[in-house]
Amino acid sequence: MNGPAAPEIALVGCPNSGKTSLFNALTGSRQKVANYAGVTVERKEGAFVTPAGRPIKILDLPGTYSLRGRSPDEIVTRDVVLGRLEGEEIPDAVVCVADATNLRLVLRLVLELKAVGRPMVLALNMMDIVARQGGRIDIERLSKELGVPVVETVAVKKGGTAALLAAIDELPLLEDPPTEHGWREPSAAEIRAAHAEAARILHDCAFHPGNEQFTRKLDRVLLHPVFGVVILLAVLFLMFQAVFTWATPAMDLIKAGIEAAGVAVGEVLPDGLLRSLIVDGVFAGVGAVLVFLPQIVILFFFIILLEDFGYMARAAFLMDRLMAGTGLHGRAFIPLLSSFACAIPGIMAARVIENRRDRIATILVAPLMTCSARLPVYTLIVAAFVPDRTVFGGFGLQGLVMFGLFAAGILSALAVAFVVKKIVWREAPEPFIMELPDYKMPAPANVGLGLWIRAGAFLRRAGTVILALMILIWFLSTFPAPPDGATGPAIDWSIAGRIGHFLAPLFEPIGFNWQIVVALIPGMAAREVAVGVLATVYALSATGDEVGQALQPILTAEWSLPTALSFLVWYVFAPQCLSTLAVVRRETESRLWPAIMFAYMFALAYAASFATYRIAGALLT
Amino acid sequence: MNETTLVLGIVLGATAFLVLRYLPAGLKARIGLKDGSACATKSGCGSKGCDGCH
Repeated sequence: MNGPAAPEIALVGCPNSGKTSLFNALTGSRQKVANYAGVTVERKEGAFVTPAGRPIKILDLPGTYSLRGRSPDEIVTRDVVLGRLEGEEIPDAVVCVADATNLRLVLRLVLELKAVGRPMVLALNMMDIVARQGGRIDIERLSKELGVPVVETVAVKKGGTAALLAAIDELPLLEDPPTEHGWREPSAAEIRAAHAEAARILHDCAFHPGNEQFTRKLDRVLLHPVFGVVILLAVLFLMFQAVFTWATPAMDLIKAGIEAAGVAVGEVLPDGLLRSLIVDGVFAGVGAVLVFLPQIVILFFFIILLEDFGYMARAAFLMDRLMAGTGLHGRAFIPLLSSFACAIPGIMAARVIENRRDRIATILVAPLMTCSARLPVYTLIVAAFVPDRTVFGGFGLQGLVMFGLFAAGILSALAVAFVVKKIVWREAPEPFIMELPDYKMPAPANVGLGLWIRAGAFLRRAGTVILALMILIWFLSTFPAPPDGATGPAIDWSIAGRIGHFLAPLFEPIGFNWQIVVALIPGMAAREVAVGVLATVYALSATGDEVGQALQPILTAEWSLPTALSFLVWYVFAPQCLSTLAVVRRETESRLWPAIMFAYMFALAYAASFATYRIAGALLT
Repeated sequence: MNETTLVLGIVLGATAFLVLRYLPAGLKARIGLKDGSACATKSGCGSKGCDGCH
C-alpha cells in the first residue's frame, strides 16, 4: 500500500484497446498529466471512489503488447508494473484492458501479467461491438482459464464501467505488497508456447462469426506481393483524384460565400484602416485558407474509412519490404502515415520504435510526408497552372499532378532514409512483427465523428492562429504608410514589403518574387498561411482594375510556370513549420537533430527548386 | 473609439495571442503560464495523438 494514501491501480493494455477511454470514464476530470522523469513518455494519474467507498488512485500506462519492453513507452509500462521505475510505487493491483474484438492480441499480455503476481482484473472492452458482430465470449470460462476476474466494459458509454468498479472492490489489495515478482524475459520457445496457449484459450472461450475466413480470402488479394501493391497505388491514386474533383462544388460555394460576405462588409464600412483590415486582411487572408475545408474533409474521409476497414495495417505490411530496402524499420510506417495529417503526431508516434537510430531516422524524414497543411498551397498552384483536362483515358490531369506531389514526398522521405540508414548509420535491420486486424465495415458514426473532429480542428485553427497571423501580416503589409507623393503600391513602403524586397535576392535564383518571400516567413508558423498571405499581399498591392480579383487568376497572370513549379517543389521539401522543429527538439531531447533537420530540408528545398526553375525555364523558352 | 486605436488594439491582441502560442513550453512554465503538458490532451491539428502544439 502507498503509505496512508489510497491504493494504486495500474491500467495496462495493448495500444488502441480503449484504455484511455476507460481511464477517462473512471476518473472524469480528476486527472493529472505530466511526464515520467527523464523520458518523454506521458504519465497520466487519476482518482476515483469505488461503490464501496474505497478511494483509488489509478495510473494510465502506455499501451504495450508485452512486458518485454521494446520502445521507451513499453519500457515505462514494464518497469512500473514490475515496480522498478525510480520514483514510482509498485501498483497494488493491475487492470488489464482488452479490445474484445481482437482478444488474441491481449491474451499473451494477460499471461505475462499473471506471472507478475499482482491482483488483477481483465476488462473486456468494446463488448458491444462483439455482440453487434454476432460474436460471443464465454466470460466465465475465460475467467476460469486465466484465473483472474473478467468483466465486460463499454468505456465510451456512460455506466459501462459498473462491473469493473464492483470487481475492483472485490480485489484482495494487500497492506504491504511484496516487491518481488515472478516475471522474467521469455525465451523464443516460451513466446511460441504463450502464442499456442493464447490460441487455445481463444478457441475455447471466444466465437467470431465467419469474419476470419472473409479476412483470409481478401488478404490473398490485398496482400499479394504484386497485385497488393498495384491495388494500394490505385487506392491512393483514386483518393487524390477524389480530393480534387469531389471538392470543387463545395469549394466554389464557400469561395462565393466568403467573397459575397467580404463585399457586403466592404460596402457597409467606410473607407479606412478598419475596412482594409477586415476586407484585405481577414476576408482575403483567412477566406483563402477556409476554402480548402472540403478537400481536407475528403482526404480524411478516405483515411478514416481505410483505417476503420482494416486496410491501413495491410498498407503497412505491403510497404514494409519497400521501407526495409531503405533501412527504415517496419514500425516506421505508422508514424509516416500519421505524418500525412501532420508531422507532429507522426514524430510523436515514432516513440514506438525501440532502436534510437531507427527512431531518429524516422523523425528526420517524417516532415517530408505531405501534411494536410500543404494541401491548400498545392491546390492553389495546381488549379492556377495545370490545365483542367483529362489524360490517359479519363484521369484528371490536376489530380495526377497532386498524386505526383504526394508521391514526391514519399519518395524523398525514403531516399533520405536510405542515405541516413544505409550510408551514414549502417546497421542490420531488426525484424518487424505486426498483427493484422480482421476486416470490418466502418461504422458511419465513427467516420462522421472523425470528420467532425478534423473539420473542427481546421476551422479552430483558421479562427485562431491563422486569423491572428493574417491580422499581423495585414499590419506589417500596411504600415508604415507611403510618404506623400509616393508612386506605386503602398505595400512597397511597408515593413513586409521591405523585408520581402530585402530577402528577394536570396530567392531570386529559384524564381521567387518578393511577394512569395513575404509569404514564406509566416508560413514557418503554419504552412497554409502562405496562401492567405499571398491573397493579402496581392490584395494590398492591387491598383485600379486588379482590386478585388480572386487570388488564382492573379497568380496565373503574375507568375511564370517555372516559378509556380519551383514554388511547388519548395513546398515538398522546405522545413516550414516551427512547431515540428520544437517537437523534434522535445522528442530527441537535443538541439542538434532539429538543427540537422532544418539544414538538410532547407538545402534540399533550395537545390530542388533551383533545378526545377532552371530546367523548366530552359525547356519552356 | 478612434478607428486607429481600435485597429491597433486588434493587432496587439493578435500579436499577444501568437507570442503566447509559440512561446517555448519551458519559458511558459518559468513565467508561470501553463507547463505545456496540458497540450497533450488536445487535438489541435485534428490528428489522433497530436499534442495540439500548433
